[in-house]
Amino acid sequence: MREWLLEGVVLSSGYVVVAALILIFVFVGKEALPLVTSAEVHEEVSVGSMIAPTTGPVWQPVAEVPKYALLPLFIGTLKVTLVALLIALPLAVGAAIYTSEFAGRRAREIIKPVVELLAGIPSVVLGFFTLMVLATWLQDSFNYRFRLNAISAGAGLALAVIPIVYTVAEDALSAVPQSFRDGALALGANRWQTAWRVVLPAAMPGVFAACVLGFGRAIGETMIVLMASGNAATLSWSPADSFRSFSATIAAELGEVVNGSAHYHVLFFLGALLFVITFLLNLLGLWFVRRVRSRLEGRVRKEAGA
Amino acid sequence: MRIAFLTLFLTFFCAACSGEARDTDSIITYGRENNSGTYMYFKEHVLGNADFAAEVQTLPGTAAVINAVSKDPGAIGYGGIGYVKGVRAIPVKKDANSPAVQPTLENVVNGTYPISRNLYFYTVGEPTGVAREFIAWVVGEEGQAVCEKVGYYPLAKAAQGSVTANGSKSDGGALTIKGSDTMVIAGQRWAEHFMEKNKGTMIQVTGGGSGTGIAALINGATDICQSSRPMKDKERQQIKEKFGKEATEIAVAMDGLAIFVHEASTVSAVSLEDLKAIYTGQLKSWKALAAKPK
Repeated sequence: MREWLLEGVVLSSGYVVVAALILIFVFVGKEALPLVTSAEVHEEVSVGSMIAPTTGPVWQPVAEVPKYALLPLFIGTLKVTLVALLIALPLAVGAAIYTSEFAGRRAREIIKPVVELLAGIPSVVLGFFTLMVLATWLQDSFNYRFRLNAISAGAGLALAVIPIVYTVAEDALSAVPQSFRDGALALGANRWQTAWRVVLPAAMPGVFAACVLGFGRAIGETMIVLMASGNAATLSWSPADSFRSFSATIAAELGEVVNGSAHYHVLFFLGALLFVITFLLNLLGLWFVRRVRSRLEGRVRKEAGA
Repeated sequence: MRIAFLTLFLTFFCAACSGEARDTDSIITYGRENNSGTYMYFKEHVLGNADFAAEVQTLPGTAAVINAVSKDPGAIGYGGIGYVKGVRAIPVKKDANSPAVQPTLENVVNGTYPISRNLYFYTVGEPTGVAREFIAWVVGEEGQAVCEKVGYYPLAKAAQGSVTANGSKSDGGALTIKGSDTMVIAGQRWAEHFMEKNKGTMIQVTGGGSGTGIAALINGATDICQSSRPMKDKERQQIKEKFGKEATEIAVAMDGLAIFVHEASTVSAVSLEDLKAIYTGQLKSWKALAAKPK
């Protein structure tokens, strides 16, 4: 009887989470749909005119003739996500390798909780820190023309991405059976070779999953980008220029719009777009993890059979 | 795979280090996000409804603009006058030949400062009950004194007292006020003083931008909307359709838009025309601005 009850609780909490996710998507999709279907909205904007605008690649939603070009926002989002991942992934995975393979027990017991604590810092605080300290410091070091740019925002964003990637990657590395390390060391590999050539490949599915999670966080993070990006919707690919991202655009503009206006639907369309991008990337990540895992297992089996 | 990653990383690293270098001559423009009344006001009254250049960096809040300008020697920004701290607010000329006017209380209230505006309360229909009492107090002598104390400008004497309490004093009640970030400090002070005098009244003040406040008023989510720009005809229409009543506009204070530059900047004054050229991206260098025929 009690077991039945517990099972029911666990099962229903699982379904609630899934249902919430589906409902969110349905809601966002429903609010974005008029962009495709409503003739009234089409007088102002359509999906086609967002991708290939006749008024030039400009994002000026509050104007006599509102201009909703996706391109500048897309470039901005991609730019900052790339910068953030290029900074965060090597650092986070490196730190994870260090704590799981090289650090002594005491060092690990200090480093792991401290990095994980970083995940608890509200992104507003990270954004403010980036805006006040990091941006100035980077500008002074590299002499950027724009103080708020993709490098500074990306660096701030990396602070939010690192703990997530680190935690998941560290768990994956720690979960590699001790026998792998013992075997490698017995065959004459040194610790670095063991870590890089044996443990890391064995933990690759987990480490990759960590990176995908990090990507999701980076592309969706709002507050840091809103505060530290300068929000100028330029077409520049240079990471030293100011930019405007999807998420910051939604945050900055959604408050202004009247329910049901074209601008409102456009912002929900941006939200749906972000959702789809993250979803596709997660799928891709899953597929990649499967492939790596089956390859690894296949190899193990072959070796066992030989 | 590894080589591809390394190449990508190196390319990016090189790009990061090779960005356009800082120089003291380029004008770095800062402005407000497009959900703010300040943005709309600047666009309408200074740019003549032209679009902002794409390079204009927009920040959430006047405080953020000031902060950014204070750290950037080549920067220019605009925002509510009540905030100036750590930056220099420069005098503004209506056109190239008119005198430069300092952004002071006097000049804003008497109308000589070229970019000044009214700050408004909006209600659906004539305000009643607690809302009416509160508004009457705000446009009265005490409310105006409070507003001056927190760095906003009071209405000209003739415009004060436009709403009067209609007799019966309600004992308490709740009121929500939402809107302009420029006005949020004034709104909070008014609410605090009013609640102190009228125990039992609960007033909640939040910001979010004038557009947000007006949208909230249309959606029925707030009693009073604070706005730093007049309501558009389309918005009035929406209120009328939804509630069957006209929106009531009450001017409650005045504000000037100050033009901020870095404290070390040598610019002495700027005309509205120059501002338009700067913010639409036609004028990008301080030297060119200084060299313009006076």
